[in-house]
Amino acid sequence: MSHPTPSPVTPSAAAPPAQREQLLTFFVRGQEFGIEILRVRELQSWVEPTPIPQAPQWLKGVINLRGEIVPISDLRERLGFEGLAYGPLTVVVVIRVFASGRDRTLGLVVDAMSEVLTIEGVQPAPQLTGGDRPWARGIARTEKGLITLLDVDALFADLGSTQD
Amino acid sequence: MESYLDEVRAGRRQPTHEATAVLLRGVDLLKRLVESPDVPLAQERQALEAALARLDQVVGPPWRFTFTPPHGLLAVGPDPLKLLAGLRALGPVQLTCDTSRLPTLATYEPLTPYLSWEATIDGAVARDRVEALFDWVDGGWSLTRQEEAAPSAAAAQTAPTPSSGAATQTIRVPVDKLDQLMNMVGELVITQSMLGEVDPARALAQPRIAKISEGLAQLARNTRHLQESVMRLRSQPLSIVFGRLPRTVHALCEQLGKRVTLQVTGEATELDKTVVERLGDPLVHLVRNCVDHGIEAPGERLAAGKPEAGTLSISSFTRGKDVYIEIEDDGRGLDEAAILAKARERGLVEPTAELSSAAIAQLIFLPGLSTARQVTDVSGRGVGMDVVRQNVRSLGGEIAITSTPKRGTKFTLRLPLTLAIMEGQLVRIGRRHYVIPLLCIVESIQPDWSLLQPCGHHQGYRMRGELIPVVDLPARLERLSGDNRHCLMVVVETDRGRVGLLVNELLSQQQVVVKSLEQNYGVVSGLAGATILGDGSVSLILEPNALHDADRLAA
Repeated sequence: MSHPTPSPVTPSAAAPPAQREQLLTFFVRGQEFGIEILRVRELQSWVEPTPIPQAPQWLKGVINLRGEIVPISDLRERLGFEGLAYGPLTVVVVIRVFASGRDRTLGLVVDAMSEVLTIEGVQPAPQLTGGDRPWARGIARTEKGLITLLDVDALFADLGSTQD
Repeated sequence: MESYLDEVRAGRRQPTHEATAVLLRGVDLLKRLVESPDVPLAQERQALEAALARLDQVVGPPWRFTFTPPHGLLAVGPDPLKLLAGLRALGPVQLTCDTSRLPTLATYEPLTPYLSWEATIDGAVARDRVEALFDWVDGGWSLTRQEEAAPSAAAAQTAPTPSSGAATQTIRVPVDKLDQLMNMVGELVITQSMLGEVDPARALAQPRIAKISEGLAQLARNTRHLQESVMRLRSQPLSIVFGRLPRTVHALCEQLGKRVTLQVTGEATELDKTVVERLGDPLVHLVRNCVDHGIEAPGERLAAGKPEAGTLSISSFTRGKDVYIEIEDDGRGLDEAAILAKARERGLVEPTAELSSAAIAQLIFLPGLSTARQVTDVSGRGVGMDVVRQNVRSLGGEIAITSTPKRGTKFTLRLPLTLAIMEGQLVRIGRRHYVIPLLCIVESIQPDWSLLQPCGHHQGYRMRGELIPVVDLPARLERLSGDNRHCLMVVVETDRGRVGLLVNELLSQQQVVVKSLEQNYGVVSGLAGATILGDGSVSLILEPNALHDADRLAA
């Protein structure tokens, strides 16, 4: 389903890629991903969500986050991979996303947390942007390897309007 | 315009129909001028000025004019006699001259005016024409409507009383702060229901712990009071929407050539802000309907032995946890034959079915049914009562209609005081808990499975002669197929008749705090929202109107 969403003006879209940024990084399928630290509201351990009818496979349901109903998305499945079994050690990163016209709170299930780091010189990822991976907004090189920066707004642009 | 209103307020003039129309047009013009000062509206302005001038002419008692030429007028100003002659030229004038101050000839000074005049000028003469005439005269004259003194003195005495009585102290609070407070109270309600779940018989058997049970009861009471107070903070009087109605009715009467007296009572009744805001359109629609369809043209009314002007009364009152709004006209009532014919034509009713008056009245809430013979600007486009009912239902309310031929029609709206908290029936479907709004539940039964029969694509259940569709919620929501012999059936009322919902177990009835799924996710058809149960888990609230569609809600 598509709908006319005004292109979101958020820190991620506005910041030129080659700047100093603080990232929270985590692993999904052995690959390290990062998102701007200012997007992160909190980290949660796994609570079984209440499934929502008609929701896409990657949307696991909703949880109660201090009185607020927050949807939980499996990042593995959202990126098109097979999901993992959830357990007490499964981590949920609660982030802010601009989707379908307004700011929303969303929980992201990731395989494991990595670290908080400040990086300089994020390179755009031309080979990844466009086509099937609009959610990669750049690549950061560190001593340990490459970190893919997630554009969560693009990744979840259709949140709530996707129905199987 | 203001001067006219001023005079009406002081009781010197009776507002007439025509005058009201002119004033409303004036307000419209002013609004447009304020919104877009650059747009040339010269034509409208001229028309309005003409209308206003007419307003001044048509109404009003005679003017009382006094003129005592000030000192020195004769030296510098115009000839008083010419002024008076000009006055005569404006219209019928009765002029008397006061010569009492005239001195003897010995002391007479030629340049001192001794005479004064009193005149009664016809009421139709516009004030500004007299003013223009005496523009050059510096004081010494006055122009007032006759009989002014008495009413204004009376008005001065009575006026201050209501305003001082109504002065309550207020404070402005942003709505989101109130919502935060409401959220916290919601949490408290949840906590309280959590504590209430503790089995008192088992856990509180010992006398020492009996105190806890007492405390719980008190907590329940306090929570309820707190909840009510916070709700009241968010509430607004219905006068906000009722205030729009006289205007609507007036405009419609002008357009349709009807005469309607609008009586509004109970506009102080308070409702949740959201409800009040979303009530405007349905109410206006109902009022338009009454004026357009219900109330007859003056000639027709006289022929039927009714007063020429129809009466439309709108009243509201609170009863229990609901607010009622009644809209009643004394018009011709519903044209049952026409409705039935139309419904048959559209295939909404079996051609042979006999329907009671009440059942026919219900038909007007079906989509695509309008009885107006021709499509007018006002109504009759087939988008009508079904949308009104949908709107009212989306506010958690209900609308009913009663009609007596030739005597009138009455719409009754029942609305909840707040949208944030509702009475819910907790049910178990599979291993999860869901909430069904208590308001729409008709009954819950242990179904006799022999009465189950195929009905279209799905199952139907014969209940007291009526075949109602059955929605297998365990299969639909939790993908539990197979044996549902142990299921109970909750019969709910929806837009399109009754529906039986299969559930695994009936649990408690409780107040639930409605949380939005839309805020962070989106609209899900079949769900009215979510709530948080005593154990902190999220439970989905079903929306029976959308459940009718058996294809929806596939897990």
